[in-house]
Amino acid sequence: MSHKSNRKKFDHICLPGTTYVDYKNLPVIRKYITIFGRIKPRYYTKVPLVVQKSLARAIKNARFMALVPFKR
Amino acid sequence: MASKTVSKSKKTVKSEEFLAEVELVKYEVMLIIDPDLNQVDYAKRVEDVRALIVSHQGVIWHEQEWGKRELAYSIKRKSYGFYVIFNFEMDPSQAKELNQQLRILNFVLRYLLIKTPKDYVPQEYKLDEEPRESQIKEVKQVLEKTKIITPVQEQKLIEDEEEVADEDLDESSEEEPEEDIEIEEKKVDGEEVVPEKKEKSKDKVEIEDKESADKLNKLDKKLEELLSGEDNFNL
Repeated sequence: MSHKSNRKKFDHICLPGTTYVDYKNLPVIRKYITIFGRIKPRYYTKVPLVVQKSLARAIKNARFMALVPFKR
Repeated sequence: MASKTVSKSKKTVKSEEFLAEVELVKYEVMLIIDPDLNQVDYAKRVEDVRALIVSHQGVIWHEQEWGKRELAYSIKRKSYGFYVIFNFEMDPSQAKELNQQLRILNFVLRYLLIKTPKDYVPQEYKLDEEPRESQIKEVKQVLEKTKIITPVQEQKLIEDEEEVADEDLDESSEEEPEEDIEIEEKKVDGEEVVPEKKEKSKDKVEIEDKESADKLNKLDKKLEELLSGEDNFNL
């Protein structure tokens, strides 16, 4: 049961039907960085590996475009 | 040996077919354009980028403009930028050339060209954070203090702020972050409310001139501090 409940958690992160995380989706990206602007590790976020990787990619893109700070 | 030759021929046939029917890939470009441009110049530059994509045989199917927006950190000593996003389909070989062409552009502070999934649908997100309750409370407290002002000072303040607002509009229609806008709106509301109380406040001032003089002086100082704070926000 715990697995199923965990799987529902990351539906709002990705685009529906994919594991792609949009770097423009700032409300989601702000959730997965710490107050110092670092990417939260997977043992805190508890999202699947595929999603964590695309999330990291999205955060890096958002940093590059000055949507999110590199460090605070 | 025969089997190997057959397989090679198949591969060559496949590659030829692939070359004949070029598969378009979905791309997305986000640009940060120079914030010091006029609105007319800005529109021209956006058209330039649009023409550049079309000249590389790209098919634009969606555009988004976020307007002027504060950057998370300064780029080329600029803390604001116009954000523009294009979604288009293009050959991968053409996309490489486009990437090099975008790098040359003077008015672009920074750009990002990425592939998007095939069934990608652009969506609108809430970009700015909503101000917290504590911040809203602080603003309300400040507004309550500013409501008790003599009518002459109010008129001066209103005139000053109107002049400032006109100047801003002339320069460019800036889309400032949400927090600042909310603060300004609330202050405007406060000023609209105050004129109704003008008559009462006049009477009070006439009766209690000497006693209220000290209080008014203090309020004046606070007001000056607040106004200087606003200037900092606008910068």
